[in-house]
Amino acid sequence: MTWFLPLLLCGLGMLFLRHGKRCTAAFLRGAEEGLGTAVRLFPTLLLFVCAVSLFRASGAVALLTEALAGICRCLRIPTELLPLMLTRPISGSASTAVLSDLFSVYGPDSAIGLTASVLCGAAETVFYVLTVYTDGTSLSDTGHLIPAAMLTCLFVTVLSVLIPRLLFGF
Amino acid sequence: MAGIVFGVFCLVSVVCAAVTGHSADVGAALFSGTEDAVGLMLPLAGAMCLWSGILSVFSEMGVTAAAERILSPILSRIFPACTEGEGGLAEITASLAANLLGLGNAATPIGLRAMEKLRRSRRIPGRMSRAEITFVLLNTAPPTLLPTTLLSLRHAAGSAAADAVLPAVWMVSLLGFAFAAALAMLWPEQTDHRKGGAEV
Repeated sequence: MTWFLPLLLCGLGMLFLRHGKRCTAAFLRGAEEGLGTAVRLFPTLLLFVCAVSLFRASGAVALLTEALAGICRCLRIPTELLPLMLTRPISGSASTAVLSDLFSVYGPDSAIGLTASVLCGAAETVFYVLTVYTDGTSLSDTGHLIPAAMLTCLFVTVLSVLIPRLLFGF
Repeated sequence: MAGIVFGVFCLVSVVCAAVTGHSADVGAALFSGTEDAVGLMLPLAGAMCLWSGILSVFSEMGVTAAAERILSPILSRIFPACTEGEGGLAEITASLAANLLGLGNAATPIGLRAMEKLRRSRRIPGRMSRAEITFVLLNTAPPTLLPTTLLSLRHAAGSAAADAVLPAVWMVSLLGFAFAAALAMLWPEQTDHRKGGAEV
């Protein structure tokens, strides 16, 4: 994919050279709209980031890990992966920290390291996306979005554990 | 939506902190959270300005219209409400392309622009339309071709084959995307009871 950005920039440069005035005006207009969107988004983002920060500091992840360990053992999912499965949907930076921890303890090429990699690479930070994209809409106005998103999240999490098991044979 | 998330996380955090004895940390976390939010916001605002500007140049020059014509047979099936005029198909196309190409910091800004356009497809004011729901749902499970952060982390951790996980990542993310798309298309139409049974 490294070729894509240079290609895009070349195209953009040529457009600016040929239609300088129109392009500049269009860019400034678009950038201003973008800034407006960013400013409107900030209060929502602040609320969400504070919530995640509270959650991480409270030790809730450790408690939930204990509570869910039984289910994981039934499904032969290593319980070491639970903290990652719990943080991945809420925060990119938090789950990256958990992943680095797992790498340094078990190694990136161990069964746990490989599964954790797939979890982090393939699963999106679902709660972050939901919060940011539905900004300004109340929960009762989101229709079937939340149940469908939770189902998708569960589906991707389960696949992240199963597919490495099939591909790498552990 | 953000309010509900905040409310639930607040209560869960305070209770858990009381149980695990982390109450003092929770207070500090609230204020470090505001700093984190600013740290997340500033780069995002920059990316929003840049990509919104670039998109605007492309739409002024008719580039997005061309891309739209190519992709509209597929996309108009998933987003039937956005086919006419400034319905947001261009932004949807660009956002999916950004996701596929691994331009993570472009995908969110473009996606948010798409949401603003899609807002016009609301039939009942305030209530999300099917097109909006579909778009957000697809964004909760985007297809990933090149997870750059993951690969650099694996390299840094001394992996013998950092990219060995790529096929698994592709399979999981594509299946997840297909699952989300199927859910979005197959979820039954709901009746809105508040407004005299209008279709959503």
